[in-house]
Amino acid sequence: MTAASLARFLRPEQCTIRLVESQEIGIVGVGEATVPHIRFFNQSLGLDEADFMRKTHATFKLGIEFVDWARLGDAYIHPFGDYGRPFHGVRFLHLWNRLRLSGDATLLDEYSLPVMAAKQARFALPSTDPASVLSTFSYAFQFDATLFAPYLRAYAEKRGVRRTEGRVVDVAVRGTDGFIESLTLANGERIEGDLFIDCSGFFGLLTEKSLHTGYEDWTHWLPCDRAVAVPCESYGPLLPYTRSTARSHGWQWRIPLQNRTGNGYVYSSKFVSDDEAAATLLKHLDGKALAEPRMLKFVTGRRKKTWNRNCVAVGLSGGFVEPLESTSIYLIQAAITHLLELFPDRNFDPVIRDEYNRIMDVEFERVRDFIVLHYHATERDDAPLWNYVRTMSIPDSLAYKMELFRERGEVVNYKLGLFYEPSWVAVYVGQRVMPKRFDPMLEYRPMEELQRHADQTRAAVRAGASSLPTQAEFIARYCGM
Amino acid sequence: MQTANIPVRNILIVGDGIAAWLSAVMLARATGRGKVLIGVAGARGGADAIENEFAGSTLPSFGPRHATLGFVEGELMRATQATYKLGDEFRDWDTPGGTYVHAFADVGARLDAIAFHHLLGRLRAAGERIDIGDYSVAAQAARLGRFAHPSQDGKSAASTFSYALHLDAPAYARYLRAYAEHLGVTPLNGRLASVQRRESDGFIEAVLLEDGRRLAAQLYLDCSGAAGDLIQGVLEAGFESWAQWLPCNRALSAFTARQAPPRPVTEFIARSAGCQLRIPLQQGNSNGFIYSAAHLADDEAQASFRAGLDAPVTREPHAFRFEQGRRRQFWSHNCVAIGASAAVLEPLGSAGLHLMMSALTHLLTLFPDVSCAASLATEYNRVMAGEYRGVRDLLVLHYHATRRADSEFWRHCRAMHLPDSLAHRLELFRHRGHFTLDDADTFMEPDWMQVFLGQGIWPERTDPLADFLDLDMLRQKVERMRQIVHRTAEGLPPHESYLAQRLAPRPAPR
Repeated sequence: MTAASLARFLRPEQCTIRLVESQEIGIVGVGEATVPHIRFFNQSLGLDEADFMRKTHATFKLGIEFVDWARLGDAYIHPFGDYGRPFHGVRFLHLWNRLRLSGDATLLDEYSLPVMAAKQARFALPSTDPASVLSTFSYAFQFDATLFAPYLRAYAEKRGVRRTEGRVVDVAVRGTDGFIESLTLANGERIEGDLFIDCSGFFGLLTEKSLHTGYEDWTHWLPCDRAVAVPCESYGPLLPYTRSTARSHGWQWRIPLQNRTGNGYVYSSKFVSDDEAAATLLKHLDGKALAEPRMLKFVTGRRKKTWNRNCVAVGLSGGFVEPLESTSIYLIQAAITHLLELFPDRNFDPVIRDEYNRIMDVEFERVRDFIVLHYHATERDDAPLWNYVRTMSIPDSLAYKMELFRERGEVVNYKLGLFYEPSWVAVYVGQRVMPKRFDPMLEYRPMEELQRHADQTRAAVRAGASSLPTQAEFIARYCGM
Repeated sequence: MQTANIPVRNILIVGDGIAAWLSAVMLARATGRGKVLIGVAGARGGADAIENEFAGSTLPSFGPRHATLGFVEGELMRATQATYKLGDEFRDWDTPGGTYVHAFADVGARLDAIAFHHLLGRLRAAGERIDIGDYSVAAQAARLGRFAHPSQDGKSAASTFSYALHLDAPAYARYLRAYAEHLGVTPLNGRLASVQRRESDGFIEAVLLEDGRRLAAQLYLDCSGAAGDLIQGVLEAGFESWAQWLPCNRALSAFTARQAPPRPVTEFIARSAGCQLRIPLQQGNSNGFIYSAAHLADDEAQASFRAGLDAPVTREPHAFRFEQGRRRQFWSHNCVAIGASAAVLEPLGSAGLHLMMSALTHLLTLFPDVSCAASLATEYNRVMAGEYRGVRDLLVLHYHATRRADSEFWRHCRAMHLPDSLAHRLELFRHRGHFTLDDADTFMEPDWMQVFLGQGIWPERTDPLADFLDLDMLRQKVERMRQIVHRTAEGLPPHESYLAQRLAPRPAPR
């Protein structure tokens, strides 16, 4: 992603871009799920959406379903879209909450077009008419990461990026200021550079092994440290969403692609052995496994400085918050966008670097709080992992957000960072963090009027969702393989 | 555990001016007719807020927010002597003789990933003379004294700006009051005398008016001006002074007759120890003179003010004092401060009304029940502190980023130690022309860019991505933009005739 984006925005006469890739470092991910921002990335490169989807076996994604998270038997969808329309300037959540507190058991789901469409495996592109209920959602993709990488490689190479296959055996660091000077490959070739971008994964070949940048460990908030992944045959309707099912020692993902399904089990090695985790995963596939399970190890957290000296760590080398909300690709994209905004010259002005690190810290922390919420806000007490996360102390920033929501259903809003109000609402309510009260403005409106607004919204959502084609039909027309 | 709402049924607003009546209108609109009794009582000392002294000079958020309140632009403008506004013009700020317009508009356009000011920076480094006003339709139109509503056609250059209004403060306050009364708000026609607090939690229980009436409410809005009759006088929320960054603490105001056509812009002219301002209304100008008493004697200020007026005064100048800064808490117990009782800022950024409306919007979002939960107040205070900080930083930048050294005042401003948030912002722009991102920003990139460049701060380095652009290609592109901007601005009608045409009394139906 970085090479493609730099090749798109830097000019060849300005600098040369070289990419050193080792086949020995595999690509993590069997199916990769994303958030809607990926579309802006693709647009910035000028990629054709249908072509990209066809080549990466992609499907559309309207959200993520969380199964068994707050309680065994629970399920909710975190959609890419808002719930209902505001009522006299009051957010719909409050209206729903008022009806709920007076005994109405209607799920919040019924007021969300993407949730209702997802449940019926339906999809079409959003309408451009803002008055239509069919405009109230956004979408992302689920694609095969092992195909996306070569797709971007071809794009980058066409625009002048020189790719070298090889393994880095030595990194030369300048004595005067500790900057990286050059890399030496196993075949003896030496590659010099002004700016180095470390996309080597958890390992952090440059940023950690050479520059010893340091890592802030978040395992005490996000204790999962392993994953085992396996693809399987597709089964059932082609779902326009990712599923995350909480298990005793972690959670299992299910990512539908056009031709098969990606699966994985993220777990804490403290509570379960690798063999048992793999067995659990294989037991819960909905089709025949298509490969041997692959094991991954990680430590949740963040590199202390994602930009250190003349090296910027992009992707897993910069930090890892867990794949629970499909944020890995988003964080790569954010790193590239901010890097382009703050692109350095050879002086490597520390002011620029510090601003970059400040912003990336905020990006990571806001994602972290959101993920921690999923674990912490649970009633499960059936396994040691859940007992731990339920009772652990959480970041102050998250405690503040949760208190405000519990009190009155208010979401703390920031301009920076991913995840806006509807996402927080979906997860709070889905995780059974219920607001005790609603906006008292609603006390001044008659109940019948509220009920009418809710009923109309629900009817429009239901009719809108049923009017869409199934995702399988839509894909066959739009971008079938 | 008590979890059900106990809704507020009575709100008491203390104040006499724009803040009080705007609060009344916004609360009455949001709560619906008759569901909440809203009363307005006068402040202890009468109105003493900056926003009532000068004509209102607004930001573009004004129009859309007023539309949601049910105001019709033409009607409001007729009632308040209003004129249109394309931005703020700053004269003599960076150097004597220098002028720039901070317009409500985009400046130029990006080229791929490269921001426009880097394109200009590149040309400037190549020796070109750059005037950023050449690339903003609104800035050009402001210079030429032209105005029309922005085009709805997104492809037209005439759609690249927005606008605000200038309006007469007392007339605007009367207009708001009439509307509030129409919405069922009760004017209490009496002044605050004393306050009773609840012993258990310190909440305000009731207020007594001078005539002995006792009024109890569950929520109080303090719109009493800088004194803060409730928020400070009773609840002692505290004051964070910003005098070390904004030393102006005296003001004069006067009204002059109309001689030249009204310009679609507020003028701020830097003086030896502060600035003079001119806000055009239909029948004349509202003028102000803001200065630092430590740097200028009152009689010298009077003389300098009069010398800088463009027409005879129609009312004698009025003098008043203030100290810039903000309340440590804007919402304390069951009382929320709106307007000058929350923060006092000079009129330089034209953000006074914007901040009031923003405060009320946040209050409506976090509207409490009678318990006024502490978490709501904490969040409100966090958000508003950020908004006030953003505006303060922009004001401080005007005084600090200058090459003037012709008086002790300007030497002081140049040398002062900046607030951290502004120092960071300035450093990033100065080094590399980068705009830092902040969670609470009233002003956006185009605003900061116009002020930075207008005040003579050009980035030391341009974006390296711009360094490799072909210079001839860049010159042509930028020149084409300049021509489109000029042609578009020249095509707009003169402000005065547009105003006359829009606000002409409608012919009676036949």
